[in-house]
Amino acid sequence: MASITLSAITKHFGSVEALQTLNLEVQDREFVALLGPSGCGKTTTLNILAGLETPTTGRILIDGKDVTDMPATGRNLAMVFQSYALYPHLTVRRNIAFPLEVRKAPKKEIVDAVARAAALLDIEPYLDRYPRALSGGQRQRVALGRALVRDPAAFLLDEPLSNLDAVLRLQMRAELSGLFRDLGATALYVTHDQAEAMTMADRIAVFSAGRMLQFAPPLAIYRAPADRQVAAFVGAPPMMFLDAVASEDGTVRAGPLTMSARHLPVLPGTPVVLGLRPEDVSPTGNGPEAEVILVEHYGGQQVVTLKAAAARLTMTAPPNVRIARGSQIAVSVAPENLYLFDPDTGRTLAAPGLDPRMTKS
Amino acid sequence: MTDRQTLLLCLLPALLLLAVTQFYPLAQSLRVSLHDWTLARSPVMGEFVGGANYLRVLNDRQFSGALSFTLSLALGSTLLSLAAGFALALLTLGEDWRFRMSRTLLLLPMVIAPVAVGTVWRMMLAARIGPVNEALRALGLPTPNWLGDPRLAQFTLTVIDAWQWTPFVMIVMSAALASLPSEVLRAAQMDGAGRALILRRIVLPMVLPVLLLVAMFRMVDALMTLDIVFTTTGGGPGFATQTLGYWIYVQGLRYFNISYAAAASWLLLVLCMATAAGFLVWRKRIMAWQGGQ
Amino acid sequence: MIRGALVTLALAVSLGPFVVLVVNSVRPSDAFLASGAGFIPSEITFDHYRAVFGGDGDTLRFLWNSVVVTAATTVLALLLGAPAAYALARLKLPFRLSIVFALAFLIVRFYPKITIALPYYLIMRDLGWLDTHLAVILAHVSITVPFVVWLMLGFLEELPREIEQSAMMDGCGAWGRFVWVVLPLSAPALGAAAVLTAFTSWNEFLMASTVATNSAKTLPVRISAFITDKGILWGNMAAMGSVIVVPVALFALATQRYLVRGLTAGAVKG
Repeated sequence: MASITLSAITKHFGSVEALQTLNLEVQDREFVALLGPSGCGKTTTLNILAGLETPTTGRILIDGKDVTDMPATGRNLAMVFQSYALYPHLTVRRNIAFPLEVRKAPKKEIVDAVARAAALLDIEPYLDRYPRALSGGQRQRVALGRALVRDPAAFLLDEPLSNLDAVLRLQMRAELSGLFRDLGATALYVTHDQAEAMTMADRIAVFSAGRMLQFAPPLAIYRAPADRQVAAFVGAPPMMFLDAVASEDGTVRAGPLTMSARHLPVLPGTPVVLGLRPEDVSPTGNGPEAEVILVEHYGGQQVVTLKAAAARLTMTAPPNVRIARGSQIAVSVAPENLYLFDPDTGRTLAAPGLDPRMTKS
Repeated sequence: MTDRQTLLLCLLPALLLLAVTQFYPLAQSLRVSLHDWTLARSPVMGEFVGGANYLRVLNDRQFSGALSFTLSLALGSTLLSLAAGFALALLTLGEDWRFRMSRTLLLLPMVIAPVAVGTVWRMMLAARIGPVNEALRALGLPTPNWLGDPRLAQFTLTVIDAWQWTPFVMIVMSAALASLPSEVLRAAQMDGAGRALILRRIVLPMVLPVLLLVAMFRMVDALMTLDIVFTTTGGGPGFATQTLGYWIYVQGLRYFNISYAAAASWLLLVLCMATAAGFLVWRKRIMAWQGGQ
Repeated sequence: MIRGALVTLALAVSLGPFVVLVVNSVRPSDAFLASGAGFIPSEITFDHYRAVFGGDGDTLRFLWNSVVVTAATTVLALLLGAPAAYALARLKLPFRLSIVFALAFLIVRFYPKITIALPYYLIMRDLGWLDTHLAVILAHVSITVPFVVWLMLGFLEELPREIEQSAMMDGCGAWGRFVWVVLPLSAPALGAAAVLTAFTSWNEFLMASTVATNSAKTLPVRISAFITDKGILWGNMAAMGSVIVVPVALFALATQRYLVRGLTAGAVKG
């Protein structure tokens, strides 16, 4: 396994700027998620690292060696594609053996390696079948097998679970996590699913519109997002944003709602954007009253939509509390759970994970 | 060797072959057409004469005769095969085994050598003993001299050419019809349109680009017709059924008027390429017009 | 129903001549001239076939020439055309250059071969290759390669890129990807290209008659010269015609799927 460095990478497609100056350092044995909405540049980053695309500027280093000018065939990276990209005219066995056959490995080594990969991924019964006879989940395992069978410097995965149904996706998520941990593998994992990124990664790189917004461990991203975009992207149900004004008494006023913040890093009267996570909204306490307009019961929890004057709030509630539409609930949020963002730049001014002494106004 | 080098090496042999066996002779032909060379008079090429050969060709009565026949054959055969081919595509539409078998059997005229087609039809249309006239005679109908009468022979050749290539039109139009989105047709039915209306207002416009492409291939190929003339009439009676291709063949490879034939062949080349270009432009215009609606 | 009647009529018109040809090939000579003789001959003879194959008929040699030329043309056209198409599909060239290359292949289809026939003859004469199989084969390959390229190009553009990218990641160079991944997956397109090339070469007349002046003649050249000065030997002509037509027709029926695929590939795309 190896460390990976992307240094000052940019990518232009004609006049379109797909990636703005990107600096990313992945440590040996680290599992990094590249997270972001469609078109944000995460797949482009992966392709550049793989060698399938060339960067407009910048260098790529694998284990300290500059591979920028080396074609994909020589970089010794294993890639799992979103569509699995199995060779339809080869059996599963030959699919997995292919990377070794290309390298002209000795026959015995190939047979052993294929057997090991098949055992690890539980696909021994399918070895002599063709990809078209397999289900999505089985094909995905074969794609993984083909990546595992050699000893790559790192694994690159491009939304490998997005074509699976929800149940299978959860199952595979856990399996993949365990697998890569056991292997001690360096991996870059592209996804638009924040739950996947949160649960699987050592660190997450959040992308938007060609820029990397933040590169940090999952909880840091959750509790100390670099800006409003990152905060909006991570967390389900997503964060609510309200336009607010800071007041003299250390509170933040958003319409009828007044929240006291732990620390206000701005002058009174300054407009801010208030961020609240639904799970931080509690139905007790001395906050303002809001009317329940929608209750969605998920079985394990409820998501309640409330209206307070013009503002809409979302709140999560445990499954066995009865909440009726039209009822009035007093909501409140603990001061330390408030997020504050600059209305113009979106930069985070205050967040639960940010040390108040370190934010400036 | 890098990927790029490998790919260039893959491209090279084919391009090289074309350069040597097609483009170089093409350039040579042009060069020869600008000089004076008749094999009867000298085994090597003579002096530069510029466009003299071209002028002679254009003033040659046989050339204008061949030109007018070639144009009428090309136009007639194209229109005939388009109509018949499209009609057959419509008639044999469907997955029923009888239609599928019919489509297969109907493609046979196109797979045999044009020279053989000429031979076969020469036999069929022989004035006295050919089966066609035998049948007409049995029915008490007149038995025309299909290949012996100048005007009739021109018509006959046009029909023979159409006979051979109608299957080509049928096959392509069958595929085009099969690829029409069925929801559009169903929507039209729901809107109350009858079969004829659907055909005229929906199907035809949608397959028009393909139809034009097929028409282009047919027209250009028909302009080059040569093989069929060889084995049916040999250009006769007189010179009535000489196509441009056949006339050039005779001039160049029988009488060895090398530079004369070269000039005429370049005129034919220009005619063919202009026709192809014209169709492509027309088709593009139609597609843009349809897309913009 | 009218539809059935019309289709039957079309079948009769299309297939009638074939039937007549075969029937005439076994009809005794005297049965031709007697008009009023029935359609079905009262007795059949193989004299015409014997005449055509034996003696100075020499048909067997020309049949062999056709077989050699067609087989070699098909193999060579695929050998040159498929890699060229792969290169055109995957090579990143400046826009102008890629148009030039594509045009170079396309343009061959649209000019009359009579224009190059005589110069080609002279080139072959100067090389001393007149009347050889090679001369005919080279001419045929140059005519059919553009079509192979066009057919394969359309097909290659539909192949999912990710499979080749996968092979790239697995360490496979361009030639390896072509041989181990692209070619196996292109089998149907290759089949169509092979069938169409074979037909084109087997039926080609102009170039073959230009450079094959004597012993290298192919069947189409042979049949074109069938009018002897003794007058028209209808029976022999019919036998000769059957030799050309019947095997080709049977082959077409057997490979019709590939034939249709090849013909419709380019036309119906956009």
